[in-house]
Amino acid sequence: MSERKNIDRLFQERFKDFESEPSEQAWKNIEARLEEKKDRKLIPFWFKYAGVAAVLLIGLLLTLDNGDNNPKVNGGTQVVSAPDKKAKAEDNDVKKPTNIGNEDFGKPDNAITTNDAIAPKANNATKVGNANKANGTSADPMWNPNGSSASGIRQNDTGITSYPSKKASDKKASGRILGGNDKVLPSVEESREQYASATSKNRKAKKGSNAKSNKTDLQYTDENNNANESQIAASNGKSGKNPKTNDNLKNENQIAVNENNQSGQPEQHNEKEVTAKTTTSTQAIAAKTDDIKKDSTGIATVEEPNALEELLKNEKENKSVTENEPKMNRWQVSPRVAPIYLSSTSSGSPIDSRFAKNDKDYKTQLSYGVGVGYSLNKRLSVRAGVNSLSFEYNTNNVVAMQSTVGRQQLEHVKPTLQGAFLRIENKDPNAPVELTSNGLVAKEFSSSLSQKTGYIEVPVELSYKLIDKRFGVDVIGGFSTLFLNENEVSVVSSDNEIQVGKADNLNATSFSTNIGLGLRYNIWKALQFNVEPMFKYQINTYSESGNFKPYFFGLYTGLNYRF
Amino acid sequence: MSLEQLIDDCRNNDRKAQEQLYKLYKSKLFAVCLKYSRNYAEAEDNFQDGFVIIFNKIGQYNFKGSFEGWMKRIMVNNVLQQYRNVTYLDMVNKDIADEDVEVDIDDENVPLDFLMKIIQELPDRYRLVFNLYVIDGYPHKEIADMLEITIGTSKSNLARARMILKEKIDHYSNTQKLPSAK
Repeated sequence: MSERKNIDRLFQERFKDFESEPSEQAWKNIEARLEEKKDRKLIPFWFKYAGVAAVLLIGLLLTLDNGDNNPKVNGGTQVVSAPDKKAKAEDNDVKKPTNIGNEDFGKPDNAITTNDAIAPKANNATKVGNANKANGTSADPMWNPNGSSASGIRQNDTGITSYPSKKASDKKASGRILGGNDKVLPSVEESREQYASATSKNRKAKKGSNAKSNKTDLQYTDENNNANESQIAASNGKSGKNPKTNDNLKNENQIAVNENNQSGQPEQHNEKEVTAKTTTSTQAIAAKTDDIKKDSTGIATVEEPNALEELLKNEKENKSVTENEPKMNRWQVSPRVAPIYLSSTSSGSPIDSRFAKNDKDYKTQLSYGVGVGYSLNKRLSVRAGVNSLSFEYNTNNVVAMQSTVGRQQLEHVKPTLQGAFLRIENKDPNAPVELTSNGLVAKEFSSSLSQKTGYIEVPVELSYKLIDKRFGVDVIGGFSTLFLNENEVSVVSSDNEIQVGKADNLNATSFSTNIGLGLRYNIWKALQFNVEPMFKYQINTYSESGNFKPYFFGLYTGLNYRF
Repeated sequence: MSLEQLIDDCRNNDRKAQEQLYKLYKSKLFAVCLKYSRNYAEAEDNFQDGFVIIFNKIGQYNFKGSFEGWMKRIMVNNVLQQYRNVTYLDMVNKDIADEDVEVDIDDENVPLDFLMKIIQELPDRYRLVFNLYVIDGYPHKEIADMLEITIGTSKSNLARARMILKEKIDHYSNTQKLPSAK
């Protein structure tokens, strides 16, 4: 009777208009998830801040022990950082004067001998720079121009006199120029070293006698000038002994001049190269000699001497403050009591989704506890404590009857023996009258469903004093860990109350994020009266919440005893 | 209320409109989930996931093309995502004909429930390919892209799925006939 049929056709035809009804529960679940999504957007804005506060707090606690060591470390760096700044200043000075020096010296050089080289410039420039630097270290600018120009001229003289004399020698391969350069640079380096030792002497002397600054500075500039002069002599002497070098120099000079003539800005061009070379060479030497190490660290830390100094200042200020106030009462103990108002940000029932829309009646409970606080500094303190906490709310418009017929268990309640025989559902005025097996109307208890939960709350909070007078205001943020210790669901009607079971969707440990304001009044120095309205948003309270997002508001009132 | 109006209200997160839209399309879309999922329970999960995605993405619907088609695609894509990455050994024997062979069956009077059951019993990828190709009419090229497989694999998976389904239908027909034949 059946004809052979293509299997594809069979399925296509059969499933063409196939429809299937999903279960009733499906929409509820979808709705709940859409609701959840909406709520997720409403995640309290302070959630982040609570997290930050917690991290801060942990960080502070960890560093608390090390806190005493910090000043010493800073003190150590102070020695370095203070001269660092000067070193930086000197460094800046170095660059500017070098440029000036080069220009002054370069022009006549170009004009007279048309010999302008990188290497000789490097030599002279550094010398000029050194001279200027030496002057730069002296605090009196009046003396600088004279000093620097004088030394500059002198160097120019030496430069001019020495180099033309080597002019006579012949040109050599450019390959040797590099070698020549290498030989010249060390002499630059030497001069640098000498300069560095001179300035370091200078510094030491300065530290010793700041008061005499003007006079001593003058002396030192003189010294430096002398030193520089001797350096010039030495390096010139060396270069003089080294004809190859000088030949190379000359070659270079010529090349450089050509280039310079072509490019419109000869001096600047050279200057850049020279300054670059001199700085690199200084860094190179700095690493070698002990004296100069200070200098190199100076260069390395130049970037943030300000921050360090500020830190130092702060540290000093703090010290002076703590010294002035010999003892700060860091610890405080605060017993407190608070009426707790529970509520939920969304309609929902953690007991059974059937009761999600029912009217809920939140009972006000009292929370007792004691807290300990530790002041990290004048404004910031960490607090922890232990509170007893209990919640109770009624789900109204519920009917209970003693019947197992058509009984649907409460979704999230593990029933007791008594509870297992109770049928609990929404009050429905149109519901047909239930008859018991013997034909009587089943007795209905118009009642409400009461859920009681109790917790031990361990809050960890950070408080910041906004106003710290006789009357003070704090902002408080943190989180609490809640340990479940009471769990009861019961039916309450006008004449009796029957425990029907325990909620099976409560997490044993849950959390809340806390934010609040603290108002304090100093009765005595050591005793304060405080009122802290706190808002605590519960997280993770239910494993399956039925869209019930509890939060509570507590008006924590108590006394602080500080010691 | 026009469908456009309803979609607009859904975009504004109007719970009533969402419920109405849900009621309009739930049966068709649940049927899709049933065909593509391993069993009823997973179909229900996928269905709920899919609808949540639909409501979240409804703002992306541009009123071009059929809205039902758009929703169906989301449903299918969601299911594909669930099963696509389930790795299992490719049991396909290479000698199985890759081409679209005609697989004929004797009896077409098999109940829909049974057909649904055997589709669901197919290995994940066979089931997906069979549904996409035979019932929803996607070409092998698209199926290959959607499932991140080659066209050849798609074809051989389809052939394999047909064989399995045919065997089961034949077996079913035989067991049904025997008692009545007496």
